[in-house]
Parts: sequence; C-alpha cells; structure tokens
Amino acid sequence: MLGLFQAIQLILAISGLTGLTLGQNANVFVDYPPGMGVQCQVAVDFFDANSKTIETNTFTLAPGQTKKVSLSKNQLGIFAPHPLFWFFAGVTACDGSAANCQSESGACESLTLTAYDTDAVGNVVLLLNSTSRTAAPASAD
Amino acid sequence: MPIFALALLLTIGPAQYGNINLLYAPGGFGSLDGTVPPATCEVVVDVFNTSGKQVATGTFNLTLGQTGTLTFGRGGGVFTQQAMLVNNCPADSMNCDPTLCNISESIETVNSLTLQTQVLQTGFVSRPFIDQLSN
Repeated sequence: MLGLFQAIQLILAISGLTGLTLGQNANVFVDYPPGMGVQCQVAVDFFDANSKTIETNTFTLAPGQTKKVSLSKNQLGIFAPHPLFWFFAGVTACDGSAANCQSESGACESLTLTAYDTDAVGNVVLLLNSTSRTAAPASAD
Repeated sequence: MPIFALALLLTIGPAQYGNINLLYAPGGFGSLDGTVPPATCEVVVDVFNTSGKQVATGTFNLTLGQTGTLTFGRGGGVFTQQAMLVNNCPADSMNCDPTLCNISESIETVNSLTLQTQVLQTGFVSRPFIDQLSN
C-alpha cells in the first residue's frame, strides 16, 4: 500500500471507512473538465477493512472525459453482511501509454471526484465523497 | 492527554445503529524535520447519551492501514461521540510526533434490518498536514 501512495503526484480523495450491503455498489466518478490542454493519469483503488487492495484501476483522462470505477459488495465478501471498505484516488505519473499525458501539469488539479453508493437497481442511496473545483481552471503548463 | 479530538452529535433511529469507523490513512509518513509518528497511533472513542452517561467506549491502537470499529446506539437515541488522539510517544523519544498520525473517522448510521448505511459523516481525528499548517 505504501508504494502506491508514494507514487502519487496529487491526492484527489481518501475516503473514510464505510460498509456495503447486499446488492450495493460503490461508485467513484472522476471528471476532467473540458478546455484543458493535456491528459492526466489517475488511479482509483478500493481497499477492505484490512487495507488489502480489492480493486485497482489506472486510467488516462482527456479533457471533457469522465471515468466511473465501481466496487460491488460481493468483491468484499459474499457472506459478510456489512463489509467495510475505503478508497483512494490520485493523479499518478504517466506511464507512457497515452499521448500528451502530463500528470505533473497544473491542469490535472482541475480533476473533480464524486462517489456514491447505489442499490441493486442503480438508485443512488448514499453520497460518499464529493470534491468540487473552487478555483479557476488551472493552466495547461 | 488527548492532543486532537473530533466531536459530533448523532441521532440514531429505533431501527438503526451507529458504526464509528477509524482508519489510519496514508498521508502521514513523516515530516521534513525527521520526526515520525509513534509505532501505533492510539485513539480513544467515547459515546455519551444526552444525560452525559457514557454508553460505549473503545481504545484503538492502529498502525498504518489498520482500521477499527465501535458499534453503538442499537434501539436509537441522541448521542454525542468524541474521538481523541492520545499522545503515546515514549517520554524519552526525541523524534516521535503523534500529530503525524493521520486518522480519519467515518460514522455510519446503519439500518438494522437492511444493513444499509443511510447517513455517513466523515472527518479527521488528526490530519497531519492540515493541522500543522494551521499551527
């Protein structure tokens, strides 16, 4: 776990510990507003109550794109009634797979994040985390 | 003696209960001046009813990535909870700084029947960088 966080260039969110119940999913949306000049590489990771990595996702966002990452209750345990999890989201150094990726750019500070639980039919049942951009969009350089 | 505390008022319904979840989150690895957090970060959580009577308590010694949960309030009621970070650095330690403990707290109000979290309140018992910036 420590290695992952030391590679992070910008922390978008570290959630608190919360539980999922039967049929629920936790969903993290990362949004990159349009108008920026570069792409950003983002990592979203889910951990159980022992901070064991359950789900890890690394992706690149171009300006205007939004990415959803989900965790299902069953990934935490089929039989546990209310298993706990937490998640981390951050900007990571580009791995070279995407052209014009510049995670070190100030533009990546414009990323926003929203996370919520949904029930078995997709209804939103709980807001987990929300960050909003309060400053003007960062420049691309 | 506690060095940081987070207090919240909580209302739990008759078909609900509360979970106080602690997480020693990443982000407090050390500081530029060479100080480090203690080997374990000690947090004491107390829950009181409206008469000031303690109805639940727990002491958690957490290493990085560890979590702890205290359940309370079955049957409902109005409660105050307080989570306190304890200075447990050895008295003779020159480089131990408990304020580097990065302890997040989330309080779930859970439906007793469906086990669905219906309300979530989050905060930090101690958040090193922010606390240090404010000093």
